[in-house]
Amino acid sequence: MPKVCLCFHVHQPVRLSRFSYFGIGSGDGASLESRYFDNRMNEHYFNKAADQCYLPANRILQQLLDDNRGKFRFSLSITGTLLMQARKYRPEVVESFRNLCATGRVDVLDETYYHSLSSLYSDLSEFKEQVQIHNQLVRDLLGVAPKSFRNTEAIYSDRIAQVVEGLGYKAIITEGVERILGWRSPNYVYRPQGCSRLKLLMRNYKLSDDVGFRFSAKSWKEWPLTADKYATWLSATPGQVINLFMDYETFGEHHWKDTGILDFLSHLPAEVHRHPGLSFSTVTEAAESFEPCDAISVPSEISWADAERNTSAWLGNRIQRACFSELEALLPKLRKANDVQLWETYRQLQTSDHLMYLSTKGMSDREVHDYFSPYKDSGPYDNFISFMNIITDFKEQVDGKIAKVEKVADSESAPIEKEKLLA
Amino acid sequence: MLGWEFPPFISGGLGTHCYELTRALANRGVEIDFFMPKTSYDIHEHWLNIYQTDWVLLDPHELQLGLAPTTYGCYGSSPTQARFHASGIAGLLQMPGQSKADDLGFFEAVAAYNHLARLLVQKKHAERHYDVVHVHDWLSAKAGIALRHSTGLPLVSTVHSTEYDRTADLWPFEWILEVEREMMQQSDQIITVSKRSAQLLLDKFGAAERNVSVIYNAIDSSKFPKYKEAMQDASGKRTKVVLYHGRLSVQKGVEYFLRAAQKVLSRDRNVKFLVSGKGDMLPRLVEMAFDLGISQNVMFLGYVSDDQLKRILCTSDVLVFPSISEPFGIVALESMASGTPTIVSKTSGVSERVKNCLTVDFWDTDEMASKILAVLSYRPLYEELRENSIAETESITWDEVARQTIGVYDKAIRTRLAAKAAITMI
Repeated sequence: MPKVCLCFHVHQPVRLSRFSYFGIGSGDGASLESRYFDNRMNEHYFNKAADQCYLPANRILQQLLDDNRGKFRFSLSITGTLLMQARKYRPEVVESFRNLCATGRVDVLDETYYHSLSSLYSDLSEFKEQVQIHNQLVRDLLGVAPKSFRNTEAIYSDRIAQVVEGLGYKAIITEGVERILGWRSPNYVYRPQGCSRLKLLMRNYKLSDDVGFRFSAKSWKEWPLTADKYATWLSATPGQVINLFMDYETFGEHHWKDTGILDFLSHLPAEVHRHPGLSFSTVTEAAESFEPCDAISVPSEISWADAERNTSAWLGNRIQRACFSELEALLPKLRKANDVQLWETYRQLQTSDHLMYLSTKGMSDREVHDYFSPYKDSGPYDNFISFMNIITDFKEQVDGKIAKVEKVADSESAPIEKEKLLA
Repeated sequence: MLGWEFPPFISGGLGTHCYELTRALANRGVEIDFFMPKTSYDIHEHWLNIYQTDWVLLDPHELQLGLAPTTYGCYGSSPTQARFHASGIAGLLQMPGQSKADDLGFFEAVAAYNHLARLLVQKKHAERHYDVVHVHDWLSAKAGIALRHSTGLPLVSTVHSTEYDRTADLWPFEWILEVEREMMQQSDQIITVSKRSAQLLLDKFGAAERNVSVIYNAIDSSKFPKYKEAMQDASGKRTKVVLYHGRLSVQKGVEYFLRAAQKVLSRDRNVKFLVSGKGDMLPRLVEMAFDLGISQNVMFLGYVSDDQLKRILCTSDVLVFPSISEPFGIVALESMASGTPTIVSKTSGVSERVKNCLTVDFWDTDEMASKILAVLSYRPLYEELRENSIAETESITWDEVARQTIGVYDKAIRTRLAAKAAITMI
């Protein structure tokens, strides 16, 4: 019977302020942080998520880890922007995640600190840098060293896999996209095309979404979904490993407490263990336990987002692509300006959520985008205007800094030149 | 169907609405006789019968039966001045196909039309056996109400705008309000063009919620050219163009457009602001442009025909529709159909209907200016809005309006039958 591999994705973006065209170039010494980011909104959303999901769900997981001595285990992927906000607004959230990790049965995955799309840049050094910062943060705050990798929103391609292998990770996870898998099942360990050590775990989207999306849908014929019913489904699933990857906010936020989602979570391990042979595994353990049964080739990016399962949730239209390429093009300038605060702001602007709020897709995906957008009374165009105004202002800030750096460099180098000439 | 206008005799959106609606209804198999005031046009369309009611045969004293107003409120100090401000049909006087209304006071003309239309419909009913009487706005309400009583037919009223909208609630004309109230009370079903308008009918006119349906206006997108041509100044330099099109009345918020223009110009001098249309605010707006120091960049175009508007839209980079109170605002659909990025006020009904436009609070001229500048500065935004607004307007069809309207007719027939049955029971 297969292993049950749970991986919870925990993320909150640092949301942007509404920024007028007239705000461009009107900084007057105010910090970029205070001008670009709506920290009141961030605090509000963080508190909500902490109270509805992170704290109650962590309590349950802690209990489960303690009760099932060694048998219950899972993986977590936590973004830097989440941990940073947790430290700022609710330190007890960091503490509770740290306690989970201290059991030794929680496998934390690495990713880009800023939940960014830097894996899509033509120059991948920024991507590597953001992964490195994330790795350091997890070691510092949670006390564990990640061994596996999950890219932003499970964005994946052969190119990304090869870079991730180069960084020394044992496994990478992505979506079990049907057009990639073909007749193959997501419930096996695969080898990314062009890699020799890295292993690939693919999400079983049907079983994952039964919990993540459908759990509280009363129109669903399987409603209500109980832990024992779900465990029976798992036990009837063939393969090596069933990859159940979902947003952690599933538990208490996407589905409210009164839907029974938290009870579902707390009963799941016992129900799974009722089936002989069915047991839990982390992402890293699954990768270590099984040899790849086939190679998977993904020439162009896939992800777990929207019906298309590609990057169109963030880069589907020209206003999204415009912001993305403006930001990517700034990279050399940031290196030139070489300023810690500018780097930090630059990276916060790269968070993929900012681009998702610019999606103009119609139909079913629209609802998902609207659901997650904190800007309820404004659409993608308003969000673009505000974001592009910020990027434009930021460009001016960077240019200003570069001008200063060059001026200093000139005045320092000039006398030397003179001395050389004299000598 | 009773309506005050039908193309080519039009002054506002009402005539176009009647044209497109009847055509779409006919396509779905509805037979329509349309009764309008007598004009000098010979109007024929193959999908309906048009009757221009003629009062020549009537005694003059019959024309003023109980309908003449005693005061003219804000509509001017004299009856002559008053005539054409009241209904948004300014410009009627200059039109080649003038109504005979010119010979009378405006209100007398409306009264006469209603009276005559009622007599004519009643006569025709004997042979045509109508199913529904459908009237548009207060202009044909009196006839509709009278016909409902005399023939027993169900009455459907479309409210395109109310007196509160037309006067921005500043000095609504009580007598018209009275007619409108009566129309809301007496109609079996009321159609209105937006949710905000429906809410107004419930709040201010005591309309019953179950009788009110929202049917948004539509657009025949194919009538609008999608190409763009750049406007150049005298030296051949490309100039960006921001357009306002509509009546120049308080309701339309044109002064906010000018205030926003000043703010845009503080960032970018290379922008021209076109104000197209006419109305009683014109002198004040011209003066205001001067006072704001932007008169060099603002052009007042005066009356612009439908065909001219299409040309102007081709040269415009963005259209702003800053209405203070607007039941719908079909100009926004026309602009979007032409692929012109469009900014509308949140207080206009059209903002409920479309997704691919920008919205602002009409009073927030900083935000309005910020959005104008964004569209002018960020090419990807311009392109995205352009492409998506064309695509969106192509799906906003009159056929859909007709489908929903037939649904309302059915409802009206059912409620009328039920009401009659109830009376019989008693």
